Amino acid sequence: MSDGSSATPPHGDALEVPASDGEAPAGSGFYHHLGRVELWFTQASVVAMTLLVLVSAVSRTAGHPQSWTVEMATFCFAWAVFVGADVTLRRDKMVSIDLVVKRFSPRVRAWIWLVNSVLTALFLVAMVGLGSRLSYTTYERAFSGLPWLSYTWVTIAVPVGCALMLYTMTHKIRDHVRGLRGLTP
Amino acid sequence: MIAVLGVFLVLVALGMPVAFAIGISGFVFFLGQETLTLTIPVQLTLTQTQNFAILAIPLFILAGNLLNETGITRRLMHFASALTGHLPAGLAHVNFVLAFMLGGVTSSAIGDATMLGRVLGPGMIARKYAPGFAAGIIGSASIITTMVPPGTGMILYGTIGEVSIGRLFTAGVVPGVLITIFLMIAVSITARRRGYPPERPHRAPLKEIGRTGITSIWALLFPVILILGLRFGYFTPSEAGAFAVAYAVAVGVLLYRELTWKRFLRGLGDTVTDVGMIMLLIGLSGSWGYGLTWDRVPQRLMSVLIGISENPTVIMFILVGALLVAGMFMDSTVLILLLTTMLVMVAERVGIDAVHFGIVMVLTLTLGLLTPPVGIVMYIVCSIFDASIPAYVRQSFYLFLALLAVIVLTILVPDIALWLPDLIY
Repeated sequence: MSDGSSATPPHGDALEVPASDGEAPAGSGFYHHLGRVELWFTQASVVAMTLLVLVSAVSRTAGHPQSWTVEMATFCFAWAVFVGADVTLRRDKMVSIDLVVKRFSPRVRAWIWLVNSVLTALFLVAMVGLGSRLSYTTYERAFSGLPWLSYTWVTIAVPVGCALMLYTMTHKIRDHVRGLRGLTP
Repeated sequence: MIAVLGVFLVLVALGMPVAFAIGISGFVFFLGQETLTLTIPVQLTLTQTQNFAILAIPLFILAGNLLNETGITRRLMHFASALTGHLPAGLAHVNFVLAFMLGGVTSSAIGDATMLGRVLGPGMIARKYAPGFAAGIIGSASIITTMVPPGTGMILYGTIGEVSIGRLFTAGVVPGVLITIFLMIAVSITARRRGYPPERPHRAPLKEIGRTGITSIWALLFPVILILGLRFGYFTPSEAGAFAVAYAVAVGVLLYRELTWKRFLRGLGDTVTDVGMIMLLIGLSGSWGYGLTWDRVPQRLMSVLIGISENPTVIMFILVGALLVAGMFMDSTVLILLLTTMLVMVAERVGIDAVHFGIVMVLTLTLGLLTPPVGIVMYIVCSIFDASIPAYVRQSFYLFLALLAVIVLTILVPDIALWLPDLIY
């Protein structure tokens, strides 16, 4: 198992500045700007979630349990997970296994990467489409115990996160194809 | 589900990130079932994150990452060195004791291997430890972390298998101690044979042990507070996770005064990546769980196993053997996710205690992190010391044997896992 090194195009991209863990990624342009917003958003969601669970624990111990804190914590969590997934994808930190792939030549590997990525992108398209439909159909349903919050607001985290990952994948695929062209004489 | 498994294995072999391979193969299941609508996999992915108990995982990861930024590791290392530095190959012993104590604040083996390598690796190179041996020491030490509470493996197993996380945490303590002792014995054998030097000429004076122990007290107290708090119902596992974060911030800001705003943001940023990676896996594995139940796979597996033997110990050995092999090829988190529901059901039906089985299962699967061909911890430690994999396997053989011995012992003597939880629950 490698921590995603095989997910990187075998012939890297000079434009990509690999961000060190935990620090905001560098780079300009919409793609990188969006990356910083995502990181910031996910960090804020994780902090909010932690505080909500703390409030929930304290209020329960104090004898005044606040059930909305639990609901809001899982709400923040869903958003942290699906937006955070794209932060992970951008940094190529997704777990993958390169045991078989690393035996091929760089050229074959580059093609395999392309096939995998296109498949992943298609999967993400399906998730965005189906997730949007699900969000639409759950509009009437209230988020557990919170009548003022439609279930749509949590459901929509899935298509939004998948759309962000789809954008990242297309960005990576575009760079990769440019690299492949460069490799062909 | 056989088609699903086939698609999954092909995609993983082609190097696709495991999370997407799980997602795509799970999707294939729903494509093949005309009676099920395609929005179910999306719903299942979301539902996985809407479980309050699973919040414990990101929270403990955050707490561990923040504690790493507080300077607690350095203090624990001084204490571990005072305790065991006088033994032959002192640095190795320090490493195991440190890993045990650190296990009480951190929750993942991979994180610990990276950190231990960074902290103690240079010293081992300076003392001319064989690279494969040094890599083995750091790698096997990181396995201790998964047993000492809190551990993400236990939280995951407990949440999915509906087993008490408090009991699981408690049950990991004795195996954790045993692994530490067994590894120390294994290192002593190698150290005497190769003449690795102690870290310090004499046993540390009691005064030094006391002083370093007191500065480390906030790390040492944490697992105790955790176990007692869960036992007496002061908090649920998720609340314990949030409490752990608050504890880390309090220790870092008020007591050690090393946690700056910049370090806090760094710890938070690391957490985002870890959470994105693990939770996407967990989310997308939802359709697998659904498919396995729909196809009644646990029941089928059970009838096969009961056909072989009805003796719980024999069945446990068969399962552990299979898990050991699976763990060599697949990440432990993924396997816990995909197999827990099924195996807990099997274990309970044949009369194996679910807590006992959980300890053995998590330990067996994490061992796969250390072994070729795909062990993520193995890759990390071998790259730190520039060790070749054959040299690593050869020179760390005794260490692996020690870990295997603990697994076999825990299977044969359930009380190793169950004694402590039975005592306090």
